Amino acid sequence: MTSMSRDLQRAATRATTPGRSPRAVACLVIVLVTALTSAWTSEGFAEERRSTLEVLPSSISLTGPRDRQGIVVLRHQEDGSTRDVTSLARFDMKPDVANVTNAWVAPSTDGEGELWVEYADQVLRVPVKVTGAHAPVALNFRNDVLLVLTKSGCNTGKCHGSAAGKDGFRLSLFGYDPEGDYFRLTRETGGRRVQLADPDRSLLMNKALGRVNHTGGQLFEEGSESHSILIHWLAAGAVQDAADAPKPTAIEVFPPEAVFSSSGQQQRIVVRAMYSDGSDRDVTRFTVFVGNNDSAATVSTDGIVSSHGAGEAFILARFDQFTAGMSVIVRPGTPFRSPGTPVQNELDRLVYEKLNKLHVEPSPLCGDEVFLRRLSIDLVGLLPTSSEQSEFLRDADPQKRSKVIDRLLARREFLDLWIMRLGELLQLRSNNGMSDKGLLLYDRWLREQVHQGKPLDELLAELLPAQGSTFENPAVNYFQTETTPQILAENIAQVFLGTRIQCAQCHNHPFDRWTMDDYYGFASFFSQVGYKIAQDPRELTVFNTGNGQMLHPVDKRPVAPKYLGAQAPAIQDGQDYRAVLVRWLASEENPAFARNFANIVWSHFFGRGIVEPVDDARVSNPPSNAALLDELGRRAAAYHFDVRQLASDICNSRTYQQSTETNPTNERDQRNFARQMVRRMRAEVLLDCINQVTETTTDFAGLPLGGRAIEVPGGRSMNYFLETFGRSPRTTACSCDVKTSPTLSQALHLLNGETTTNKIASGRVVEKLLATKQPMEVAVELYRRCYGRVPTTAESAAISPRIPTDDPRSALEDLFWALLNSNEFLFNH
Amino acid sequence: MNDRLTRVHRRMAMMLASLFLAILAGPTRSQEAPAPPAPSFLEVKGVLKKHCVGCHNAEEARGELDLTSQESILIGGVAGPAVVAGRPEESPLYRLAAHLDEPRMPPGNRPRIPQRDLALIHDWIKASIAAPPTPPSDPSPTRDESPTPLKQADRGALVALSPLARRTPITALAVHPNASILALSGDRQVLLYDLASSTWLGAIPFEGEAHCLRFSGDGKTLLVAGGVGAEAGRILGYNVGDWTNCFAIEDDTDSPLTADVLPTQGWVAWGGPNRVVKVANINDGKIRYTLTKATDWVMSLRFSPDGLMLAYGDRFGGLHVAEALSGKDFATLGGHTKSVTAMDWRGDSNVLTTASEDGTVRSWDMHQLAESQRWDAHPGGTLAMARLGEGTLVTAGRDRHVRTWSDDGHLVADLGVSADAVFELAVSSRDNEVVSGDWSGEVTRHALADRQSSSIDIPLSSAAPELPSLDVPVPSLAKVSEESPPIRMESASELDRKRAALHAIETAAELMKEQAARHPNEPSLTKAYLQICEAVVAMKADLLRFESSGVKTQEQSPNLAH
Repeated sequence: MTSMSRDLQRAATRATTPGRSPRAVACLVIVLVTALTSAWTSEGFAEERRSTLEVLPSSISLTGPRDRQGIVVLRHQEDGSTRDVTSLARFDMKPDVANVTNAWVAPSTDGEGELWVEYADQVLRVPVKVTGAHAPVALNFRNDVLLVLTKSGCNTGKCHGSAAGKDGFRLSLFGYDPEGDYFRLTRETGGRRVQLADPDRSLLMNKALGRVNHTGGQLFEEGSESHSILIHWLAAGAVQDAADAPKPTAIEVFPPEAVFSSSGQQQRIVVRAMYSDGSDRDVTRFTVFVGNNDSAATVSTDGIVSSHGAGEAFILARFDQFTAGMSVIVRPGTPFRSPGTPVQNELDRLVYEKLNKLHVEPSPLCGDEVFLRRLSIDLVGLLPTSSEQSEFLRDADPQKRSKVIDRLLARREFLDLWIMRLGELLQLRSNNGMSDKGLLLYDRWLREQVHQGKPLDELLAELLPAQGSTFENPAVNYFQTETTPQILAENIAQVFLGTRIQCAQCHNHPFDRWTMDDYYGFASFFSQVGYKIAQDPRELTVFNTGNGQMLHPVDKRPVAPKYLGAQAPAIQDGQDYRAVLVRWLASEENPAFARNFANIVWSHFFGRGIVEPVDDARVSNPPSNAALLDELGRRAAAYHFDVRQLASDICNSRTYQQSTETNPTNERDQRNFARQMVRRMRAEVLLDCINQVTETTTDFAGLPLGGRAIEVPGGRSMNYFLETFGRSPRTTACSCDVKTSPTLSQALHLLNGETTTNKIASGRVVEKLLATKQPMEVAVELYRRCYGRVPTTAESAAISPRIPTDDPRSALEDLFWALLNSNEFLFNH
Repeated sequence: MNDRLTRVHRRMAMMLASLFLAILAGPTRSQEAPAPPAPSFLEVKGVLKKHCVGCHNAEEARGELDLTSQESILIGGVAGPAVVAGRPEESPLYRLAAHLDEPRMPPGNRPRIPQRDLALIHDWIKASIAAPPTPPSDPSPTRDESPTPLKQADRGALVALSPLARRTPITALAVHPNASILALSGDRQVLLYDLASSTWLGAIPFEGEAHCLRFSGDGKTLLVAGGVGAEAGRILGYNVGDWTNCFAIEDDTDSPLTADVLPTQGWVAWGGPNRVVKVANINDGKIRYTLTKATDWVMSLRFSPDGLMLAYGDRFGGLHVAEALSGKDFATLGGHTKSVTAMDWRGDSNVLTTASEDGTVRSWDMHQLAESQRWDAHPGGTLAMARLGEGTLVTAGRDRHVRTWSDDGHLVADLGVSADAVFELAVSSRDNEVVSGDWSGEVTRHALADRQSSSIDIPLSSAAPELPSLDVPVPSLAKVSEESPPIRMESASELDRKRAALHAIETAAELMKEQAARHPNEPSLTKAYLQICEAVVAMKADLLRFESSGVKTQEQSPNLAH
């Protein structure tokens, strides 16, 4: 906001300068005022100043004698934290259509009324509607029995939900196939599992109650509701559900977010399921809760969240085929003062908004030397040269960081780095039948496209519907890398939508919203890709067969193409399905594409994505800062997927330029960008940097002499250094193919291997420098090359006595070797 | 040496002592009536079987401890006797199971034995440890209610049948080869029905569910196999006529799903979910041999009429034939893709016919060891099959139909549709009819002559027993911690920023005013100026409110001084 008001002031000033159209200035001023006003109020101080009361859900509908609804009474505190005051609130039902025990609303008679909820002088009213209060109880398989089985864990992957079942009994994973489960439970083995004459003696009951040998042990108590539900359902004949029986359509989790002001607090979760007949039910007791960060907060089986330590946690609620989450923030509980860190752009504002919520302070800006080295590695994959350093450090312009960002972004190497990333995403590699010729053509094609300035969406518009010979149209090679519709669809989803849908090939995704229908609908876009072998055995021709669809494996019906998470498109006869897909993929209708693109770019500059791993966005793995990701996605789309502009925004943010040093509030935070991360350089960049500082080259297959490691085409580099330091073999579309984790062989290779020692010798850098410089000056130069800084006084003091004046060369080469082996060199910080 | 001897002596002495104590304790206990009845070893055996016997049995005695009989428990294992009579707190069996001592049992991460089972072990050790072991199975009926005496002499040892609370899936069904007697699974009993007079004869009590009923070829014996799933299996024989028990074999692992007798040898074979076919002598219960070629539950097995072969089929579609006398593998017949549900031999033992969940019925030539016939009998699965005299078969399946076929697979007749999947079939050659039983509990007689069908009504009790309440439990709530003063996060610097912003806008407004004055013919400038003014007024008001409310406390708060 401050920057905006500065802009306003500048605009108003500009209006006074002659030669400007006053009308244009007036328009600009109006726009700025409007923006400023909205920013003022949205950031507003009226908000969060006073505590407010909230009752969830905001209306209650009870539709049967067993229908109940739990209530959450939430107090939003002045400091932005929340407090569960359900047990302190007073409830009053007017008129008396329902009764309330322990914030648990049960029907007493049909009618409508209002539930008055009172806490600390505030009263809220919740409408309550009761129907069928005295209707007979009718249990059904899907909506009663299956809930018991799922909550008890019978159909998890390690028990009967595994693909082969367990101990001779199989259930569908988390109940995705209720009809099949009904059949297997009742009729698969005749009367072995159920005994209707005396339900309590059924094998089902003996097993679940642990009365007989059961690998899973006892799952619920004698006389519990679960036990009673099974008995009643069996006693009523274990009847199959009617075809029009209501099905759950969605779930809601109350509250969607909890901000604990300290550890040692609790919050109740209520889960409500919506059904196809318009009714809803409180299903909290049949919901499975899982937390992802027990050190911050845990959740009990009945949905009570307890805070334990400062941090963030995500509580996943799984019911039927639905998963929904609740985000939990636990503040350290110590006094916190917003540091008022100045923002450099909108991205910072969103990052710091989140940090304020967490009571975390960001680190200070990094120094100029560190900044230049970091930026240079990130933008061009090289270290700054000594002259670049001096020039930058001398520059007194307050905008010098922006200037150097622009300068580096304009360099060819920046796009080469991006092409390397694209090569990983598209799995450019020579195995799987692709010849070296095909690979080189493909690689050259991609390079040309990107250097010509073709943005990602246009690139995909050529790539995905590609037809013809792999030699004549290199884009066709994409369809040689993987040839089955399923894997093509999985890769597109993972790489360009950031979603792994693989699970849904065999069963509905257990931790996400993807169903088998989604999976096969998406795979169907690739069901009409035809292949022909050309005369040259290395060549392949891809064409559109114009017929065929994926068959659903459960009932073998053809599945029409359907966008992932969106509608099925109208497709005319003869239209290439892939062309229809591409029209949607990067369009405004599919914000996931832009978000994923932005997240990939963001992760390049921070070592981790806002969604991490970048290609595994799901309900149970939400972005660490959704507003930030949305904003980046919006910008990416507005920039027409121009990676340069997005990178410029990121590099210009204060968030990127933060120091890697921690403070007590952010030292444990890994996800919210309160500081810059120390990142090991990628294998290719590291090798390029070693070549750069030692003034040597490496020969790479398929590249001219002097080619850079980041330009190596294909997945096999034939280079020991690159393999050891985790270059992506590009065998899968997974972001995990690139490895930057340390290994023993990496350390040994640097210490004893040929790369460092040989390159120091063959590059003769020390020798060349000694020709014009004093030994100590050479040492300083080596420091600047490798670390981007001059040695500290302590370092200088340690070095200088160790350099003999008569033969300084070997000592200086040892120093060079030591620098190359140090973490300060290997890491970007 | 000396040491060891002493140890052995001590151990023997302790054993004798505990036996002696136990013998003493037993009767005296039972005479003092008021104490609750001590659990029987049979009950304790059930608990041990569930939790311990998997590793501590006669074949695999971990720590040399066998917990299958009272004698072996008293002998104990490497660490001495497992129990000290009358003193559960000193008995390793109880101490380890109750997790009072290391190593905790059952080992690893497995949960502790449920409290009610522990209590049973405790009470049993405390009370009568040395009551004479009961024979494996009491041949006389042991139901709690005293059997109603039967009037007709031919009902022998039968008891009056207890009406079922509800209909339940028919799990076993058989018809006597030359008398019109139908045997039927009921709830914890085998129901006997006279087809000729359409009357119920009575029931044989049975612990658990009967999964297989079969009259021996000579019609002298009724074989009843079944039990409590995953808990106990029983293979019992009854003399047809007086219905007295003639043999009883127990299988500790699970309820058998199929069984057959080989009268010439006095052997019985059975199989079930544990994938093993066991063949035992009916007189002493000794296992003659086991067959382990099945890769899934054993669903069906049959001795050949000449007594030379034993065929068995599993739930995976595996079909194997062994030599009945030696137990040697004879052949594996590949073809079925799903569970082999039923089988039958032709009278000359040369052809085996099998039915399967894959929908087919297949005949196998025992000389060629190959499939000789195959036809689709019931889409969705053939579940039951019986031989209807030479040359004709009857089948039933998931499609609810009952059909008769010639040996070469030609449909002879469709006998009708049942209410649910038909799992059981039997043929009464004497009465020229077929009896079927389905999952819904319906039993139907299909007369072959006129193709009429009629159902047999299983007696149901008039008042169904009361079911447990279906109350919805009230959940517990989150505990509320002490109200702590909220920690203010708004800071003075935020206020500074707002003040700076306001100042900037005010300056801009001044500049705009000048502009507007300079260009009187540009109404847009005036408009812009007025808009800025509006914004300034609104923000000023906001700022004033902010200053008067939050920040004062903020600045005074000692907490935030640093």
